[in-house]
Amino acid sequence: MANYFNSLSLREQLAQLGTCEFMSAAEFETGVDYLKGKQLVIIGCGSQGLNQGLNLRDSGLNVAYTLRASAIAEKRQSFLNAEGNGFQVGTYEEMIPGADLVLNLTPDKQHSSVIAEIEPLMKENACLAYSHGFNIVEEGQKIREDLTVIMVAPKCPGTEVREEYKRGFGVPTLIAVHADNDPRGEGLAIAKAYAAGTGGHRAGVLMSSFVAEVKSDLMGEQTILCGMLQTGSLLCFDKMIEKGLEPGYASKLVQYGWETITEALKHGGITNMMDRLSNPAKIKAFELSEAMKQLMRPLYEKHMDDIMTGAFSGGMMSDWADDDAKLLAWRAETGETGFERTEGSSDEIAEQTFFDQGILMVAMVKAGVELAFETMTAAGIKAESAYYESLHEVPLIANTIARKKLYEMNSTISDTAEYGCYLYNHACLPLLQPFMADLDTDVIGRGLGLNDQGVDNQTLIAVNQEIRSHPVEAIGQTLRGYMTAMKAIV
Amino acid sequence: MVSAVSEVTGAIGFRDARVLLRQDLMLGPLNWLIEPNQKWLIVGRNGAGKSALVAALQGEGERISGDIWYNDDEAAVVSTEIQKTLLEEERIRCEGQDERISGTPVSAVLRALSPDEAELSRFVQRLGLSGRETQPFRSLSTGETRKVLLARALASNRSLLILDEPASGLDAESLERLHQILEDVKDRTVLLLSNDWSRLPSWIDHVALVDAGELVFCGPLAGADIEPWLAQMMALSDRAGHLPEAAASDLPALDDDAPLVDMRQIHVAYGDRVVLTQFDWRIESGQHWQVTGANGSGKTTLLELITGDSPHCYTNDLTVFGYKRGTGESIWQIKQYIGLVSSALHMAYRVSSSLENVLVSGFFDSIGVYQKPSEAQRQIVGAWLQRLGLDAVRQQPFNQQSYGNQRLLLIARAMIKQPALLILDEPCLGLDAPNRALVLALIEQLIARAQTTVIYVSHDARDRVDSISNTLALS
Ligand SMILES: NC(=O)c1ccc[n+]([C@@H]2O[C@H](COP(=O)([O-])OP(=O)(O)OC[C@H]3O[C@@H](n4cnc5c(N)ncnc54)[C@H](OP(=O)(O)O)[C@@H]3O)[C@@H](O)[C@H]2O)c1
Repeated sequence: MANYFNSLSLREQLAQLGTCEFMSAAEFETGVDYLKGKQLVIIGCGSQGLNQGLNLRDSGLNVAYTLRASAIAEKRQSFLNAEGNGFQVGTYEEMIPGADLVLNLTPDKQHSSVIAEIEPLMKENACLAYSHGFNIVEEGQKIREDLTVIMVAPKCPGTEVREEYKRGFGVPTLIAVHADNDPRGEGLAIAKAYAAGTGGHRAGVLMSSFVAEVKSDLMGEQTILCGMLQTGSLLCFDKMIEKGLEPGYASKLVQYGWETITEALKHGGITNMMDRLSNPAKIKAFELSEAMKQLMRPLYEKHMDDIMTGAFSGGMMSDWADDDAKLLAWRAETGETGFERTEGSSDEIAEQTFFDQGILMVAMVKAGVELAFETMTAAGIKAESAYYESLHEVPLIANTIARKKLYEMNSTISDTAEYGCYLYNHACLPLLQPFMADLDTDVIGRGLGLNDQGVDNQTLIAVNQEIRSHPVEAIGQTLRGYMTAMKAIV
Repeated sequence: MVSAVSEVTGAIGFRDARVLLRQDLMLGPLNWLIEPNQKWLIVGRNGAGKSALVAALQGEGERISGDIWYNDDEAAVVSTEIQKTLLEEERIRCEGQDERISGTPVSAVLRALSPDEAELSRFVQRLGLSGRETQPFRSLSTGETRKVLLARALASNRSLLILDEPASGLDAESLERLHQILEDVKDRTVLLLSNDWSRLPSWIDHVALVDAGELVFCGPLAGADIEPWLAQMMALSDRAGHLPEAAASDLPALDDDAPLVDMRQIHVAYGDRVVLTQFDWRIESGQHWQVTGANGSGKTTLLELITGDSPHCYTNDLTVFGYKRGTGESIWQIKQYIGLVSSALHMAYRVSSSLENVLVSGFFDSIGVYQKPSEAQRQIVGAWLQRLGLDAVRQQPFNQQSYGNQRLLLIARAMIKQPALLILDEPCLGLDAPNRALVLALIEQLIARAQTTVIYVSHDARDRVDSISNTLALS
């Protein structure tokens, strides 16, 4: 199989990368009607599989599951999930031939082998759906010509997909139709009905393409989302230890710091996050962030380039073929770091303190979000997609670190994200080493400790202007506006 | 900062303390000394400030002046807050896993306060939790999780027990057992927070009266003249009035001759535990039911089959409002005919909303509001807020209300659309006597309007509704 993106002409590449449109609520007026009475069969009953299935059934659709034979025979968790919730479960041979819509919700790494097994069993003119387009775009999986191929990708972990539905709401969702596989032109109608069945239409649906979803998803997860938080955690912790801070305190400041800082990001973007700092601290964070952006820009560009050319996925797939040798070694290495091994102390840290003592962390988030956004949009990805794959998801990932540090983050995210995260970390750690050497605990661990909070007016105005006028802030305001308009309408 | 227990006497409490608990809530000056081994009843109306007072004791908020003595390491606390937090943590930790089979086992939650093993197994038995130890904590019913917290607090070696409305979620028999257990507690201090002044447990020896955020009285029960105060509280509460109007309904009308609910040969089991089997039940329109049964008798499952919150509604022969379940209807088509109050719903109502919007959400069966209400709906919301006596605080955040006020709002939320079927699962939990009376009156008024059929679950004999004549007893 050959990389699908690379097989396209430049014109088609640009067209697909640039596909991105916020869909109006009116487009979902018919709800799930298009899929009423059809048989949906979900492959895999993990995080997305179980929770999407529960929502689709509660929306009035006919949902059953199919699992690999070993999962059924050994009554594995996936089997118990499906069975315990009263779903019909069967083998591929039993379930796939009767399916009008097959939802492939297995891990991305398994897609080519799963598709190879189920495709011959699928009935003519049925539809195959994904929640992430890696298999189609990076592996270049060719799907039988009579089959429709679509994507419905919720931009949240599976539990959130379910919780929001139960409240009567949903999570933001990307949908796409694979241009090569839409023989009857019904792909969009199916994707819209599927998105409505998960509740996604209530929170906002972005019409995207397989290419745009994959390239932006990969870029976001390996740089700002997971990579930057991992590198940042290690650097900040080590700095505090070097300067003699109590290790338990340092560990706690970093572990919960990301969550607290990015909560501010969630509500009001970079502007609000920076506004939580005192004026002198804000100017300091701005300077640090500018310096880091200059150092890291080539790295972000390299990640984007490798994602675009397919060099990234090629490298990762050779590691799959090598029994995940690199991934497993990196995972073990992360487990041995000082940050990961140091238990957080029981000190109470006040919310504002995370900002005051974590100026460097704030700067890292700002630098990472802006660089990822700038690099993505420069590569032809639209601002809306770039926003969802960078700023929007940072708080969700930060929550996982607050739960159980890097271990939890790396086990919650996909293997693809984990691999990309380590790759980034290996390049970024040495890159920032010399920069870190000059820093002290005023920017991480202790705070500026100034009695005089005075700043130069002109400098402050210029810094505020720079922060507010960044393009991620403009699109962020619009998209957060949609979300809150829907979320709290009165 | 809160100082450690006063060294001299080992007492805890306040001396001339003023505490800024929240931006808009200043307590004090407070003077209240609790000597070791005393048994206190802290009593007051819903929203009187009982929990706020104890929170201040525990060091929450900012101490403006005076002294506070308290030692957190010595305290074991049982409250709805803690129950909620634990369940929420479990929910996050076990993302994507089935709650009936995975998650922290009850035994681990029981042992979290490093209890005395012998004591623990004694309380587990006395509270009727035997056999539950290996199950996931979050698979238990609300009443059972409450008992787990009680058992671990009782078996711990902490010298102070803080029990905030421990009766919430317990059936009558379990509550009786809890009081018997507390009767035997000698060598530690107990603070019991309650809004139920009709019942003074025999083991109580001190009482603190709280009203409008103030400590009206605190001291030994013997010789305390609290009767006039109680009488005043009761008098305050007369909020008789009409039932607000219903909004014009655009729902498809139901077939008058068909039953609202028709269950046949229901069978539900979780692993090896059979909860319901060979169970039939028909609910005709206008036929009101009282349902009784101990914690764990399958009551919750039964109601969840009707509301569509149990996945087993898809695996059984079940017809609700004319929809045979699992034949293409959506859960929202079912919910539009139902109003629901239960402890589970209360726990799930976690979004920050104003009181007003909590009522609005009743029109849309949602948690939080995602659709615009009509002008008529807004007016009905206003009428309900007035009836509840909460119109002055309509814009305040729901999650900062007292537990009792939250309950009252959720009951009104369930009633607001005057649904075809109103399901009230222990609605009066956490309500004081005047509010209970209010709720019972509202139920009678709804029934009199003859548009709503009621399923009513209650353990408390005081909360009988006279117009309900059918009884279903689950064992
Ligand atoms: N997690 C997220 O936040 C998220 C968000 C959006 C989209 N997605 C996408 O959703 C899809 C599913 O991800 P997920 O996180 O839900 O995965 P997951 O939780 O790891 O679940 C995967 C399921 O697939 C089954 N499975 C594993 N290997 C298999 C194989 N070789 N053959 C057949 N079945 C296999 C597993 O069951 P057994 O091992 O028991 O067979 C399990 O039920 C992916 O495409 C992912 O990119 C995920």
